[in-house]
Amino acid sequence: MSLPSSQAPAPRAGAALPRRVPPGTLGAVLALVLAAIVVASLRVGTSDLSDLGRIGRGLGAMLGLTEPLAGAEQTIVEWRAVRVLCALGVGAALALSGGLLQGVFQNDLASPSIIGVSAGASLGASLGILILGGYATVFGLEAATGFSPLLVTACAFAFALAVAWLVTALATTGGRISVPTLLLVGIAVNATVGGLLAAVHWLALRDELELARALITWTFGTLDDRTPTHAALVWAGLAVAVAALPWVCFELDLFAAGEEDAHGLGVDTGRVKLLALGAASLAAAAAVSVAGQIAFVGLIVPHLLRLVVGPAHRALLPLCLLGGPVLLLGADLLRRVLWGGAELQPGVMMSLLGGPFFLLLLLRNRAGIQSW
Amino acid sequence: MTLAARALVHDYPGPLRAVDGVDLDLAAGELAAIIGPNGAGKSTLLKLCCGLLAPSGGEVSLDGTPLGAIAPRERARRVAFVPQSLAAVPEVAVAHFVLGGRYGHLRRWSRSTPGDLAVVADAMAAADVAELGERPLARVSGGQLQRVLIARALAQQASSLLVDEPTSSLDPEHQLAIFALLERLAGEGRAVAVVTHDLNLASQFASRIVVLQDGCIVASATPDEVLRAEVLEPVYGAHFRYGRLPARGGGERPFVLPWSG
Repeated sequence: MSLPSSQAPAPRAGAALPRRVPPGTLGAVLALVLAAIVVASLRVGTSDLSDLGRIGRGLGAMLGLTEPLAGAEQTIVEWRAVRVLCALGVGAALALSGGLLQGVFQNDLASPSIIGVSAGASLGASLGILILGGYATVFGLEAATGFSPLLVTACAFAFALAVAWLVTALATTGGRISVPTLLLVGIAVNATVGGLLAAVHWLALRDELELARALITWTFGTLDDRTPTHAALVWAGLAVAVAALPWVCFELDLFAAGEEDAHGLGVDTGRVKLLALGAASLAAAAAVSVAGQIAFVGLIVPHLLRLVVGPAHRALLPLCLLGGPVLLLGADLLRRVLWGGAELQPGVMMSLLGGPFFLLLLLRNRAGIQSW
Repeated sequence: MTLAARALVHDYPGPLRAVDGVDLDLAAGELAAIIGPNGAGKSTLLKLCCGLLAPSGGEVSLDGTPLGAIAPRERARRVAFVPQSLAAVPEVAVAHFVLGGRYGHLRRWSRSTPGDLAVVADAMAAADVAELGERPLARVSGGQLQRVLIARALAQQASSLLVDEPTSSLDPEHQLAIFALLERLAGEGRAVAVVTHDLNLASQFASRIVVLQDGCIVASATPDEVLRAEVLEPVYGAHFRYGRLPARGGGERPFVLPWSG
């Protein structure tokens, strides 16, 4: 046994497994790709408006810097810009939510849709829409309807947080989260919330067809017909969630060897879990209340990023803010280029992509899963 | 007194009383070995002493301050715990893992300093894992992992070090090396407690042996006073052969050998 010596070679702080891409490099690549997708998304649509100069003038007019474009063109630019802003915010929020949940639960299979947080947020949003949109007078909430987007988000957040705590509490035994229990609880909660959601829809369908249509569109996940208020909401929710990151990033790295181990190193594990679950629920709730249930962004993005840059959350979580929009806006752009728009909603596309991806993950990890 | 436990009780759900009214003092410069049969409450006692478990009754204090009143990061700077194993092995290199021991010393928003890295390097050298720095933690052997865990605890620079069965998967050379390291750390002024099933390592290196049975301390004395038939055999329900061998620092130390019949 050698004696301690300050002459011993100092380890590098970032020393990790070999063949990882530096986070800065990946961040720069993702930012460039995202910029290209944003520009393309502003140019592509059913209307023939692809001239970048005119689109630029339309965007300038939105900010009060230039004269508005003539006729419907200004409206088209504004519609596309809001859609892009919403997609960026929703993609970032879902990916961040997934990254945080995977960190807290220490499992690559955790994501807001799989453990029921998205469904919880969706139920909260649906109840919010139903009560504020259709039955406000019944509940004596006439005065509240003016703030309904904010209140719908608040309902979504409350339900997302409630589901996150319920799932965590049910899956925790002796201070340790059991992964099989977590996934089974997620299935049960998803099924229960799905049933409640169906009941809410049935209630709306019986009396209010327009309301039912709005709720069903929400459930499928859509980026159509969003307003600047929606864009502001998702970005505000995302900003609050991002503000929690400095208090959880390094701490979640220490969770990797188990919660008890992190506690022994001085991590206030209760506070970190509360912050991370709260931020993940808020981000998922903001995304769901704006765009409905768009599954699997929160599963796919953190997982792929982890493969490329490694598990350190200080790199992973900020990169989710770029990777999520690249996937969601990229998929939305692809569908509009290939099919011209209306046939497949982004929520449907992400489910078609994400379902097989989840199965692939399960198959790849079969040996590990069998030992659970 | 560095670490003091008073009337410590811990009940697991069941209910199962794992620790039952333990008083334990651990002084700076002391290496105390905690022994006892399986299920005696040894690991639970260590976890209570470092705040990983909350006591059902009684209190642990560090230098007179109740453990519950000390913030987690401050606690990690004052008492370090070396677990038997990890719940999961993180996908990081060994040096990065050991750097986790500096968490209690890092200021929020700041990255590790050259000083932190020097502490990590010293800790890894002391635990004989300096050459493993770049190796993924998942690719070290069981024995190497034990030494890495000790290195990480050393990086905490805590005045009390609580070690749970550090030699259970080590070969004899490394068993001796780990206990020599713990003895040296105690000699440098730390309070060290180690849970072990190896009575002879405890005899060679510990200044005091604490015997735990059914959650209670039944003996706490020097190896000469503890490694005797009247103490060991009622506790373990086994027979031993007893002898003495020359000790490293002069004099003799007792040794025992479990022996059927």
